[in-house]
Amino acid sequence: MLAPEHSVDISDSKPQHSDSINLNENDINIDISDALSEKEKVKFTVHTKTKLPIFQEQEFSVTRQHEEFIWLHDRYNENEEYAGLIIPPAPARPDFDSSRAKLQKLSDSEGSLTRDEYEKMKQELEAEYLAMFKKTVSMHEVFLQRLATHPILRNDNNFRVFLEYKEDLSVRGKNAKEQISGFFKTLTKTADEVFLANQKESDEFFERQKQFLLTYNTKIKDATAAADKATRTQKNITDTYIKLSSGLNTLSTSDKTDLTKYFILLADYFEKARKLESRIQSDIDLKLSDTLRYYMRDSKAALDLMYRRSRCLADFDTANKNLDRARQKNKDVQQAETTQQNIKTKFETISEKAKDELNDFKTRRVQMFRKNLIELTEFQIKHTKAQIQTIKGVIQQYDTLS
Amino acid sequence: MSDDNDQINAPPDDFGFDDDTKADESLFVSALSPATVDIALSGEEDDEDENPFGDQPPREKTATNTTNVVESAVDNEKNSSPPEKAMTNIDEDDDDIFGVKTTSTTAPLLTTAPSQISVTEPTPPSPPPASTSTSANKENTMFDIDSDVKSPTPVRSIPSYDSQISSSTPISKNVLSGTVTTNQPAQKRADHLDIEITVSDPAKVGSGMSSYMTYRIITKTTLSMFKKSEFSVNRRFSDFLGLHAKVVNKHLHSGIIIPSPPEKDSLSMAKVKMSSKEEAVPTDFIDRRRGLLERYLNRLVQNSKLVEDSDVRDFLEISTDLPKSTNTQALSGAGVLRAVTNISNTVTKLGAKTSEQDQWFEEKHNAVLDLHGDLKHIYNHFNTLFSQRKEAGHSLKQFSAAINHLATTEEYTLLSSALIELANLEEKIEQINNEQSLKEYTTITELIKEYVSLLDMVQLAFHERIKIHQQWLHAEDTLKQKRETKTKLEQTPKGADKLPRAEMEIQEWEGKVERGKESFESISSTIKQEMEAFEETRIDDFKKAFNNHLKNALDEQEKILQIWEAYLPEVNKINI
Repeated sequence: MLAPEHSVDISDSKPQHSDSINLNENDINIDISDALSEKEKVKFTVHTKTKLPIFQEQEFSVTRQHEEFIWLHDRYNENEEYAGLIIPPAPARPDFDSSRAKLQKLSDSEGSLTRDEYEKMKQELEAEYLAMFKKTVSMHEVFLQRLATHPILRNDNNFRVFLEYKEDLSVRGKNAKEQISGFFKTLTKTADEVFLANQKESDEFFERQKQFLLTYNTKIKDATAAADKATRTQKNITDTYIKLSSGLNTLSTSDKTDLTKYFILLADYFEKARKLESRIQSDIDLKLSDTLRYYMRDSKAALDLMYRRSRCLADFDTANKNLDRARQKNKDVQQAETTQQNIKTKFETISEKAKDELNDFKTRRVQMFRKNLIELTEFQIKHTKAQIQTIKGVIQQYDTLS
Repeated sequence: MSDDNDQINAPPDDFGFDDDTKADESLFVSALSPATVDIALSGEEDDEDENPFGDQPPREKTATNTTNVVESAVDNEKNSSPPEKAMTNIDEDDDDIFGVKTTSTTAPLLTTAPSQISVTEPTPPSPPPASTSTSANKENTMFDIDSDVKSPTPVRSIPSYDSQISSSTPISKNVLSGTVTTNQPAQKRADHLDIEITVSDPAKVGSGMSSYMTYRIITKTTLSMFKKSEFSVNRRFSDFLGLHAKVVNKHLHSGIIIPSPPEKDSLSMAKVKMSSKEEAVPTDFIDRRRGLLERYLNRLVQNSKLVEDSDVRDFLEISTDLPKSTNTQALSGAGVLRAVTNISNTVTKLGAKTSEQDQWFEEKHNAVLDLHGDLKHIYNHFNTLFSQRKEAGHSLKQFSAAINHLATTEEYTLLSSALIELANLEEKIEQINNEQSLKEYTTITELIKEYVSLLDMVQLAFHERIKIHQQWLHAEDTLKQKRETKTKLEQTPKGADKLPRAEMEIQEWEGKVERGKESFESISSTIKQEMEAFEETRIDDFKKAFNNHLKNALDEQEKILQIWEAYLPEVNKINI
């Protein structure tokens, strides 16, 4: 099942936006049309349709791996020009390790399970793997699509290269030295953030935003973790349903009385209930947990923005002090003035853009939650109704048996 | 009937005419003779049965026998043997005229023998009037099948006899015979005994390691063996175990399937003992135990043989505390299991002599083993399910709390309230799930556990039968040996003086063989009856449990649906 080469036909499961929608002049339409799972790597086929003159063709596809997405994200992050913007969070690394481990455990315990149980558990695992696969594709896709719709970010040169360049981007993984330096950078940043936490913020808007984002990020992290745990524990229950169903079937063969039919009926009930429960859980996972997860990342990205602004503010303060000192000593005044001026401009730009971005963040967040909560509720209602129908059917069958 | 009456009137004359004195003698003897002499009434087994009487002439002569009345009456009709058979067969275990297999009705019959005999008395001691009316049919049947029996006393005695056969209530049995005999037809579901027990109000007595829980046992019944129709007592857990020990000691060897009480659980009890008054006593465990004790008692009293047991009745009725029971370890679930596995290792088959009936037993035994294994297997799964549901409930609660916190942080108020509603929703769902999980546990999981231990007890009953069979075979072997010894002694001149002793031993062992055979047949038929009732109860219990479970599940889902449907408008309130 987890074959070395596993291709998921994504195109079948999604509506083809590019076909049905009329392309605006300024649009870049991106979708991931295919994905191939190869040993440790996943190869995404990024498919773009655009009328923008900057691109060489109007429709083209390239193959990209996860590392190349990260490379793109880093390029955006490091770019001073985008300091005042929220950089869309990078997609998570595709991780099939847990699925693989579970499959291994299952085949190890094949002897102790009945044929029936083994088949069903295998099906469950396969469905799980498939769901995870679809999710990771979707994450990568959303990342690109957000970039494509952002008025400033979409014009980035690296972005164009990412979408267009046929060859491998030769993004080698960081070697040891770069990894260590990367690690230190994160460390200093964290320390810096702590230092800046006490920064006096004159602007009320930003003060409020900072407080909000800090608490929000923490809480949503907790909520995401709790959601995942709830999904996991539910999954254990549906797995036990498999064993119950199988056990009841065994009972129906060893019991020679009237009860045989009842055991079979109950076994059937547990099987049907299991399928519905699985669907309920996966919808909760998709609509609720994933939304939480996404905004966990997005709020982190917003925090990064706040950090950059804070840093800039701190630099601005420093520059001001330097300027004063220079004026006192009457040495290098011109230089100090220029520096101060630059930083001031930078800070003001950041602040202005940040305001828009943060407001936009709120709007996006509320819309996304609203949409997903509505869809979640509608699905739950649909599934619960199906459960009720199933149980009523079983009760009816039970009554005819008696 | 009038015809018969005429003919009935006839015999006395004849009787008086025939061997009067001798008849009187035999009358006298048989009136005083012990129950076992009953066999003497039979015409077919003369030689052996003659022994108690010593010198009595062979029965065929019929002149001196107590059934003289019948025979002489019949003589008139030239049908001596059938009526003999009619009376005699009553004594045996065969299908007789009445079409009812009766085993040990011989004893009761004998107590009414005097009434048969005293033909001359116009009003023989009559059996309970109640039975007369019910046995009218039987009388007719009897007369239809064999119109030759025309003596007055057989007619009158038959009603009493009938009542023993046809009724299944303990009342008539008690009246007609001093001992409780198992001469009932198989219990049908319709015979659900009108007795209901509730176990409630667990209360802690004392403190620290010497403390214990008492439970109030309320019995409601219309059965006449109990002094009142509603009464309650307080009992502690070890009292239940003590009762079980007594019941097993008294009744296991007759093949009755005895239900067993919940197991000892030292760990949970330690927690209960150590919890101070301020802390909550682990109510989960205590409540579950209470429920199991209730089920145990109700099952126990539904067995009509066991509910009559004096210990059982004392347990339910006597308001003073019972003497403390010790040595309750052996009867815990683990103890029974050990006993069963030990026995199955030593004695499993009956050996060469297997009849059709034995085949039935072997098949049933194997079926029981299979069922036991499968039920145990599925019990484990249901148990796992219960703990998993608990865990999922915890996670859901945590999730609800996390969403709540998130909601308070959320700055957009409409989204914030929608999230708070979501948190509430999740918590309600968790409560509903929890309720359903508990119901599932009590309805199905506990039932399965009960049956696993009941099947253990069934296996014990089967093993008792095998043990008894072994004893019987052993007795037969010993008898054979003794007989061989006797023949050897007869051949040696010196052995002559040892002969009487050898003969005595032979008699002794012949008795044992006879009793062994009886026990074996008795336990076999009891087990058959018990199994029938057991299977019926089992089917009924499981059907009910499944039905309840499905209804509960439906209930649960409908509640959940309501909750989600109520949420939809809340979520739609978010607008931006």
